[in-house]
Amino acid sequence: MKKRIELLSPAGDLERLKVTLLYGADAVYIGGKDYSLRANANNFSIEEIKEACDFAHKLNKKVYLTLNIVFHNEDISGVEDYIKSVAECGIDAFIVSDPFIIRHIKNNYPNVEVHLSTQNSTANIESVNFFKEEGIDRVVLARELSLCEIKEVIDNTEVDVEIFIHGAMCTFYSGRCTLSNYLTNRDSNRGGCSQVCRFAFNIENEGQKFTMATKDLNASRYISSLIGIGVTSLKVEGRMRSLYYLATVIGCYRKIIDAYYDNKLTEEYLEYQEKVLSRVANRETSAHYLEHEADYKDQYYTGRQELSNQDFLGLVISYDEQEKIVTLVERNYFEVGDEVELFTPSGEIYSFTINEMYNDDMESISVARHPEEIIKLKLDGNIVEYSMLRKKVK
Amino acid sequence: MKIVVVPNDIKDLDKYVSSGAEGFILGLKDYSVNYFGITIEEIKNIVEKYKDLDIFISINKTIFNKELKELEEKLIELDSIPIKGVLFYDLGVLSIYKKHNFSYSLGWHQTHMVTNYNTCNFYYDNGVEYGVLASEITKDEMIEIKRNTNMKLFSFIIGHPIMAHSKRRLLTNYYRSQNKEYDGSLKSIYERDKEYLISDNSDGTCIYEGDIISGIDYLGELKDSLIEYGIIHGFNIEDNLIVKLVSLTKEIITNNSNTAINEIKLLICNNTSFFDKKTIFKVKKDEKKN
Repeated sequence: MKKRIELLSPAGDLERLKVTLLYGADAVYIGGKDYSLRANANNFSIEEIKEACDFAHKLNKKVYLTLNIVFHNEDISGVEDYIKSVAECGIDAFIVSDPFIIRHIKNNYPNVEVHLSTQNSTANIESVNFFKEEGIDRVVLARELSLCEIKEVIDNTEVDVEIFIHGAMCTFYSGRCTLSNYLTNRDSNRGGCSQVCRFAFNIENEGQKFTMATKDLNASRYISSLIGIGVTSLKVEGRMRSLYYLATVIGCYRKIIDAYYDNKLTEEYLEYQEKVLSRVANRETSAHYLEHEADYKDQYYTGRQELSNQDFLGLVISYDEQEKIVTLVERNYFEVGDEVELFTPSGEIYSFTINEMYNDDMESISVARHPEEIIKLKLDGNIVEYSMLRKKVK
Repeated sequence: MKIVVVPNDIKDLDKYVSSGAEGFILGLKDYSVNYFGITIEEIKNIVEKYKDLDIFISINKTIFNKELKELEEKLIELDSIPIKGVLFYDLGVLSIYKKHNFSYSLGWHQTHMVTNYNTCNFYYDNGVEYGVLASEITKDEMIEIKRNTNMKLFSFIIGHPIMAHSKRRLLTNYYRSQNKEYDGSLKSIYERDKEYLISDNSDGTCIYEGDIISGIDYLGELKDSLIEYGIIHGFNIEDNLIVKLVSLTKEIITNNSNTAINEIKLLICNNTSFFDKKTIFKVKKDEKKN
């Protein structure tokens, strides 16, 4: 029987890792304190990597560590010791970019997989086969490939293929962009990318600003096709994303994937999941290269691209099953009379209108206006820690 | 150290040779990004004419499946020409190379990734004889790489380095968004009044440093470290200026001429780019806020 496709989530810290696994990710990729392309995320210490692996393995899930900087000489010393420490934590795979590490890992830690990062912009069968000979177990293909090209790679190589399905896109080929180095002195290939592709430039003889930022990727409509052609893993971008974002995006893709395997993926169901996904999006989205050569509709041409989002109302920190009281930490303004829904890691959704709410001392209040304020609601359900309250999706 | 020139055209190669060029890096039509692309036939003629020069062919575009068959044919055709080597970006080239017993050498030319000696050695062990050092590392890093690898190395000494390459047609898209048509020319874009160059064609978009960067102050040290080739990239540089730069650079390599160094500084701005400036990648919290 064919293995079910993997849903792979980012996680910037331990709490996010736990949440995203609870919400349905099959595996999580994380960065350590060094050698990762998100040098300015919180990232994981060795102790945290160990805890992450233990937590995931108890759920029969996996943890991958990004080791995907393009090394400079000064980065070489210490990397082997670091790999040893991480391997001893029980990591399931290293995601690498610089090929000199591949052989070292394969020779010394044969039970740990090595995945080739998208930083290499691997775009063809021959290139995949080169890395297979070097011992790569999985390739994260370039984001510039169409469904058809992805299928050709799968049909003509024996390497697992991982595809990005959701999140921010690079404007340039991954690994072929050093705008950040030249404009801000921050090394894009060592985790310092300052996202210069989202800057607005003046352009000769034109009144309007020149921008090159892309819309975000959303491949929710292509999950069936990606499963059908034999992709091994579906990857969501965003190690610096919030708990709410991860819970929502991973939760949606979990449902889409499960519905596909259960033969229940109807157009109506997909449309609803897309609607939910759109509520956490802070940019417009596109399927980019999956369906056609990216064109002018896949980019932005005005300075402002980010939309703020106040959908996330609160994070559940406990539930009193006897009294049926939900305790949550406020994240955005809400009040009595609002139509909301509480969603849980197992996928249940409780839609209701807030008729009453209380502060930490169980005094009745009508408005929750302070972030981090403890709020209590009465609600009967199968509610657990890390459930979340949001505005109702209509 | 030999000077190799990346020409903008092939009609004036004689002038470069007369002024001291000892080799060329040429683009192959449809397979080269930021190199002037020519046909196999033209390559053949040039190699025939300049028998004593080191001629390299840059095949540095990202390759897609549909291009593999033709790429293999081109690589086979090149084997009938006594070129010194093919400089590649895509590992597909190396994979195809390994299937054949080509007589030419290979050079690792992953533009921004040739940044450490371990990876140079990895490719050297895979049969890759040459490497084109990234323009985003310091002179000291270049020298350290040379000390720790047997790979023969190129260093980009003068020119507009490419900063980024996209499959997207960013200028075409920009003008289309305004119901205009992109005229195909090189454009200038500005950020805080600093100029950068951008062009777009069927291979996508390239963005270049607006200044001509200069490693001329460090040429002596790079030469003494036994780095084999210094590149003068002619992109967007007027032909007579290239000739002068080649001639003066040759003078520096041969005679350590300070006069020539000063003359070059008068001809081009003295932007030493990353030769003497390290990039950072971990930003302190207080810097992050700014």
